[in-house]
Order: sequence, then structure tokens, then C-alpha cells
Amino acid sequence: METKRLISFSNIYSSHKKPVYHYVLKMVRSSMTAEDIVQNVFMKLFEKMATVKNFESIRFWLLKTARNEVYSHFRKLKNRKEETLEENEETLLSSNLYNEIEEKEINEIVRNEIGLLPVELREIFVLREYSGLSYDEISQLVGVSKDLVKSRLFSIRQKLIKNVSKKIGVEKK
Amino acid sequence: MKCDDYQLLIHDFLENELDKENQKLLFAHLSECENCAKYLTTTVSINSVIAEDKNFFPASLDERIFEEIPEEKASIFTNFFAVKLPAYFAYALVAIVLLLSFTLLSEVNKYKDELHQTSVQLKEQKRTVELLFNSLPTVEVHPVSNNNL
Repeated sequence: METKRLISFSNIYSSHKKPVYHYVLKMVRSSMTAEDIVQNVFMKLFEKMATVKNFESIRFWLLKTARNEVYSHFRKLKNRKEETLEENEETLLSSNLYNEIEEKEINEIVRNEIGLLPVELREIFVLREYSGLSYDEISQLVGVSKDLVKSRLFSIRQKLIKNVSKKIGVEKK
Repeated sequence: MKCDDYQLLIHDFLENELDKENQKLLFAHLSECENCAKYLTTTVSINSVIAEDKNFFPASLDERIFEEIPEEKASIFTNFFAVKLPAYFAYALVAIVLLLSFTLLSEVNKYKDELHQTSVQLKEQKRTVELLFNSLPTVEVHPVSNNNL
């Protein structure tokens, strides 16, 4: 019974750890906090393994639990603005020093630009691109209509591509 | 169609959701529009960064999580109480336990009565033996000496 549970947990963990981790990391933008949250999420899963019936929607359940943890983390901070300033310090610093640092590669530019998106838009983008959720699932998780998810995602992509193109252009000059 | 519409098609194309007809339209436009061609190139670059990032996972977190899993004994104990039995099964189990308890209790009482009776009988026997012993005539013992000295 216990071995079976452990094997089942291990399979779920290895299949879904990355989508969950990247969602949390991109949201909180601190690897330490992200690791703590991911650990909590999977411990909750382990505790509830016996009661899990629908393994097909497990990724959705994990991301929903992760989302609750992320927003609980945000609530612990006085307000989102403060959180953004504190947690993004490293990213903003590298963004500000953009013209001074020579090792600016496209990867870093893309990562920075994703990090600079507003939280609610970044969440939709990350859930789609990093966690692989469908439009329906994102709509259920975030609580907005599927059409709104689609249109927001498109405007996020356009904005991101525009900013990255601009930066790459600067880089090439 | 405007550039915005073609850019939407670019994403559909990259997600393998664009039909052949629209693919033709898109590529015809891309051959003419430098802006949209650049949009496609940047999108592909961003996607490759995301694909690269998605593969990363800190190994230390694997260790942390598997260390955190409770030990087997504790988990079995927790599991035992976490198992959800059907209501009728639980009622039957309670009834069996109660029946066994009553049977055991009556057996204990029966044994207690038997023990008491045996004890009373033994006391009676002891008294009888004492009475018999006391009712025996006293015997005087006279020493006889055969010694002629």
C-alpha cells in the first residue's frame, strides 16, 4: 500500500514538477521562495494521494494549489507593489544595467522581459507557455473567460515580442 | 487582413493549429512584410528560450521533497485511519465488537461464579474436616518401658 503510494507519487512528481516549478518561479521571481512553495504543494499532494481519484486533472490541481500558495505569499507581503520592488530587485537591476553589461544575451533579455510583465498578465503567459495548460484550464484557474484568456495572451505575446525585438535591435547596434 | 491578424496566425501556426489555406496566406504575407517576418523570428527565439528554461529543475529540490516524505511506519498508521470504509461495514464491525465484548463479559461472570462456588465448597470441606478432627476422642499415651535395667 505504502510502496504503491510512493510509486504513484513519484510518477506524478516527475511528470509535473517542472510545469509547477516554472509557474511558481515566474510568479514569485525568487528561486528560494519558489522551492519552498513547490515543496509545500507536493507535500500536500502526498498527504492527499489516497483520496485523489482523477489523476488526469492532477496538473490542474497542482497548479491550483500552487496558485493559492503564490497568492498567499503575495498576501503575506504588505502589497504587490512592495513585493514587486523587493523581489524583482535583481531583475530590475540587470534591466537597468542593460546598456552597461556586455554579456547581454537574448536568453537573458527574454527572461527579463517576461519578468517585467504585470503579475496578472505574466500568470496567463506562464500557465500557457511554461505549464502547458489549455485555454479552458487557464480560464477556470484564473477566473476569466476563455476568449479573454486568448485575447490577453495575444496582447502579452505582442508586447513581449515588441520589447524583445527592440532590445535585440539595441543589442545588435 | 492587417498585420495583427497575421501575427495571430503566426501563433496558431507555431502551435500547429493553422490550416493549409491560412498557412498559404500567412507565408505569402511574410514574404512581403518585413515587420511580420521579424515578429516570427523573435517569436521562435522566445519559444526556444522558454523550451530551454522549461527543462531546468533544481536537483536539490528533488532531495528536499523526498526527504520530507514521512517514514513508512508513520504513513501506514496514518493510512489505516485515513481509509474510508463503507457505512454498513463500519456498523457491522461495531456490532461484532459489541457482541464479542458481551460474550466475553458473560464468560468472565460465569467463571467468577464458578470460582466463588468452588471456594465456598472448599471452605465447607475445611469446616467438616475440622469438626471431624475435633470430635475424635482424646487418646492418652502411656509410655511403656521394656528396659529391665
